[in-house]
Amino acid sequence: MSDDIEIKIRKEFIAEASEMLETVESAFIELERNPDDVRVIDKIFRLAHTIKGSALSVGFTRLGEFAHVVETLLVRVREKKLVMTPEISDLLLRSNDRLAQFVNALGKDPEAVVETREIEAMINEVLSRKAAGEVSAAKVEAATALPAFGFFDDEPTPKAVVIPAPSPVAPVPHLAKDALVRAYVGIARLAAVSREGRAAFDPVLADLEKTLEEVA
Amino acid sequence: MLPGHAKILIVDDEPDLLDVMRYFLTQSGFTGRILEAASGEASLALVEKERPDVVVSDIRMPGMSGLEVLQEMNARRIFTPVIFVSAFGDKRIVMEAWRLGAFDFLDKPISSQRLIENLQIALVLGERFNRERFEARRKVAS
Repeated sequence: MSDDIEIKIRKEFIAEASEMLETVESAFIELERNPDDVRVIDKIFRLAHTIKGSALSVGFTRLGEFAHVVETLLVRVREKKLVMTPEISDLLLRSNDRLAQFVNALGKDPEAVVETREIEAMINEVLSRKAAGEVSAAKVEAATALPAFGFFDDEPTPKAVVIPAPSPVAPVPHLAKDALVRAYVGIARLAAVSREGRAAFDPVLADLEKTLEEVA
Repeated sequence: MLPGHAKILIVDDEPDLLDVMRYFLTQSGFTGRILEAASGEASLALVEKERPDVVVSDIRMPGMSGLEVLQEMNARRIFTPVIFVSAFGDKRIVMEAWRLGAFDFLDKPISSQRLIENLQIALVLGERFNRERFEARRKVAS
């Protein structure tokens, strides 16, 4: 893509995003009046998603990533998995301000990066608080036996009420599980293209499969 | 947790990547239907026949690419959200995909958390969001 086209598309994005953020601001005023109005939350949600997609598509990756975190918070509110408290409303407003600052800064310098880590950490803290609550609930349910990753699952569907013995294996973090899967896939791919053929990799793949079953 | 009634179509010409996506979905506790297609052509046929709630698709595939499938879906007025698995480094393709109406993007290598989050968002905003975007694009074009 030529630099000229890229600059033009990015300018278009800045103009559109600024307009969208103004609309979000008026939506927040509506939200203050009617905190339970799903239509208003939807409006904010759609705008956040559009900003995220547009930002990623024009290469403003950090802005897109930040909008994604805001969007994740909104999805919980939209699905009523988080109640719209003043804390969350304040977080959303601050996020909106920061998005606007970011878009404004990018309009002046396409390489600009606005600090968003603090707000992201606050949002993640709210989300993890919710996830932790779910983990405790899952312990009570004990018998769901669902191999959940432990997030956003507040609709467990227990089939039987049997309390399993505590597992001697420490819980494996999601990222570690993902890394194991990626290792498995990577090795399977190597096996597919290797001269020695799959047989040479079978022992290590079998070990990984076993480990994956154990941590699932 | 993804809703148990959801129908998700995963598309990739590499069986390993289909395995990974299926694994992530089942490990998240997803109990709905997972449809699979190994080519663009097969995915289009499944979209038409099964009307999944969301599609997660690779972009580069032999034969019909993910973008061509999306174009064909637009032509047939099928507004199922499509999440593309792509490297963000390839800005031109990501930009083209977004302009064609792609719903979201997943960076490679896929993270399970991101996959589930993006699916949740697609299932909430869904077809209606895509339809509105399509109409808005058409208005701008005319």
